[in-house]
Amino acid sequence: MKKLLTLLALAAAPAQADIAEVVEGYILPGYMAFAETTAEFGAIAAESCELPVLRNAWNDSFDAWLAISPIQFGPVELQGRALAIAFWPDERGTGARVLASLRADQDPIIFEPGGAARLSAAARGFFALEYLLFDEAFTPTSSYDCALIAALGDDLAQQAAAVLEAWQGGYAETLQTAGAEGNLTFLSAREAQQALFTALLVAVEFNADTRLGRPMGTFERPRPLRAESRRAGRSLRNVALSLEGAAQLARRLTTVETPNTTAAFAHAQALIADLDDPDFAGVATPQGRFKLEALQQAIRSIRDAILLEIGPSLGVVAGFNASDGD
Amino acid sequence: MATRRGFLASVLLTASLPQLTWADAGAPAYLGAAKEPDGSFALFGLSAAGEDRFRLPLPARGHAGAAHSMRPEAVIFARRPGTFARVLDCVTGQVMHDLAAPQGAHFSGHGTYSGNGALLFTGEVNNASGQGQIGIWNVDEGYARQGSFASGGIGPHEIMFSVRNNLLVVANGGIQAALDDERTTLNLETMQPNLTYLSQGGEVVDQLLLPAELRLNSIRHLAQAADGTVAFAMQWQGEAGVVTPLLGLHRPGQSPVLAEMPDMLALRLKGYAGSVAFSGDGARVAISCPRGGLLVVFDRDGTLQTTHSRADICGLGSAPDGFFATDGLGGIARVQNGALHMLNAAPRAWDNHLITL
Repeated sequence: MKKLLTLLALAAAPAQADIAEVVEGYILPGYMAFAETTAEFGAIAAESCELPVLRNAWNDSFDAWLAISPIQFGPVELQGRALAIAFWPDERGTGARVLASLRADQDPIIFEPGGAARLSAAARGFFALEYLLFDEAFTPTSSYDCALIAALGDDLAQQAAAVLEAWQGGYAETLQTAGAEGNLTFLSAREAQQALFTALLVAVEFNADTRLGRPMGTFERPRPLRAESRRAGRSLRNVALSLEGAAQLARRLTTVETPNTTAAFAHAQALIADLDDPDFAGVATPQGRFKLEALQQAIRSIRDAILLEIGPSLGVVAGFNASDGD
Repeated sequence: MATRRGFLASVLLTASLPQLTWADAGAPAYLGAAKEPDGSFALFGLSAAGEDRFRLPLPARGHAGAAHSMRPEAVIFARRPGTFARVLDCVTGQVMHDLAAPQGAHFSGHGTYSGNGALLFTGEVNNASGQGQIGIWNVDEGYARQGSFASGGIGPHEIMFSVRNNLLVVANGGIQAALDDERTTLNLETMQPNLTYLSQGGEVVDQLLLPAELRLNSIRHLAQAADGTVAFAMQWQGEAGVVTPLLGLHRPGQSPVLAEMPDMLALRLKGYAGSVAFSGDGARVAISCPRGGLLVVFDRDGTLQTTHSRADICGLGSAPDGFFATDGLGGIARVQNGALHMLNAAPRAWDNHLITL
C-alpha cells in the first residue's frame, strides 16, 4: 500500500519522460525505415522472381520491422495491420494452408486491386513471404507463384506506408500532446508514458516467453520446429533486433540514468553475440538448451530492471488487474 | 470537495424520505470498486461520462457486486475467498446489512438479484470440497438467509439472473483453489468447468460442458444480451503459450459458439479474460484482457471485430452504443464507433469488475 501511495505521488510530479524524444528519435525513424525497405522489397518483387535478390530485400525489411515492432499500439493495431504484417505464431499452420490452396487453384484474387488485402492475415506479410521465399515446398515454379510473391510484397509495402502516414498525419501529434484539451486518446502525459512503458515491457516479455519459450517447450519435450523464422534461419536475429529496438525505446523513455536496464540489455546482447544457434535447433540438445535458458533468463532480467528503474521514474506501474486477477 | 459536501448535505436531507431511487444516488450508470492511493478500498458510483457520483468506503478489497434494479442499494462481495458481503444504501452510504457466508463456505465474489429484486442469489464455495452452492437471501425480509441449492459444479464464480430465460446462469469455474493468497489450483487432474442454467428452485435446466481439450479453460464471467444469449469469458489454467478461446456464446439447449482469434492475438492475451459485456445495442460483445492490455471486440456471431490497447484494462460494462471500461491505472474509457476514447483518469486503481445499472 505504501508502494502504491509513493507511486501515485510520483505520478503527480512533472513528467520525466521525453515523449517527443521517443517519437522523433525512435518511432518515426523506425516506421520510415520500415516503409522504405518494404517499398523497396515490393518494387523488387514486382520486377524479379530471383530468390537470392528477393531474400535479401525481404531480410532488410524484416530487420526494419523488428526494430520498430515494440510499438504495438496506435495505427499498427488498427484494421488488424499488426496481424497482416507479422502473423506469428501460427500454431495451426493457417498461412501455409491458404498459400498452398492459392497456388493450387491459381486463385485470381491476387490480381485484383487490393486482392491480397482480402486474404487471411496468416497468408499475408513477412511470414507468408517466408514460406514462399525459403520453404522448399513453396519454391516458385510458375508465373503465378511469382505474381503471388509480388502481390504480397505490394500489400506489405502498402501496410507499412499506411502506418507511417497515420503516425505522420496525426498520431505522433496525439502522443506528443498527451493531456492537452481535446486529446481523447491520452488524457495526461502519464497515460502516454504508460502506453510506451507497457509496450516496452510487452516487447521484452515476448522475446523471453514466446520467441524463446515456444521452441524451448519443456526439458522433456523441446519444440525446435516452433522457432520463429526458422525457415529463413533468423530466429536469433529476430530476438537481437527486437531487443535492440526495445533498448532504444527504453533509453529515450526516461531522462533519468538507468544503469541496471542498460547493463541488462548489454548482457543479453552479449549472450546473443556468443550464441551460434541461428534457428534455435540447438534447443534439442542439453547444451544448446542450457544456452537458450541463460538467454531467456537474461531477457527476464531486463524486464525486472525496467520495472524497478524506469517504472518508478515515470510514476507508472505494471497492472493491478494483470498481476492479480480472478 | 465543496460539491461533494453539498451532495452529502442534500443526501442527509432526503435520507428519511421513503422510496428513494437511483436518481437520489446521483443516477450513476456504473458501480466499481477501487483501491485508493492511501491503500484503502471504496465503491464508486460513476456517471456515463466517467465522473464520480458517490464514494462509499469498503472494509477490504471488493471484487464484484450486484445492484438492485429499483432501489439504490447494492451488494458488494469481498474478493475470493472472502466471507463477507455488504449491502449498501447508495444514497446515504449506510451499511444496510452485512451478510456472512455460511459456516464452512466462502463467497465466490459475485451475486445477482432475481428479476423482481425480491431475492439475492450468492455464489458460494465449500471450503473443503470446492463444491458450489447458490445462497438465497430474502431482500424484503432484511436479506434473511432463505436457503441454498447446489450450483451444479465445482468452484462457481460469476452467477447471473437471466430475466429473458427466467433462469439463474452459473459459471462453475471448475477450480478447487487453496484458500491462501496464492490460490493454487488443487484439482488440475480432474478439473471440468461447466455453464449451468438453474431454475429459481435449483433444478438444473441445462448444462454446457466444453470439449475435453478445453477442460482446463475455467468458465468464470458472464454477460447476457436482451434476447437471452449468454456470453461467457474463460481463463486458461493449462500450459502457457497454448492458443485457447476466451469467449463463448450460448443459448440454453443449443451448441455454443467459441469465438476464434488469430493465434498471435490469442497468445498475447495469455489465456486470460477478466470481464465480458455486450454492447447496449446487443450487436457486439467484448472481453477485457488485462494481461494482454487489450479490449477485444467481437460480432454477435463470435467473429473478431477489433482490439483496443489499454494497459491493465479489466472493468467492463455495457454502454448504449458500445462499452464502458476501467483499468488498474485509474483510467475510464468509452468505446464507440470502433474507437476507444478516454473519459477520465482518476487517482485510484479500478478493480476487476463494473456493475452496469
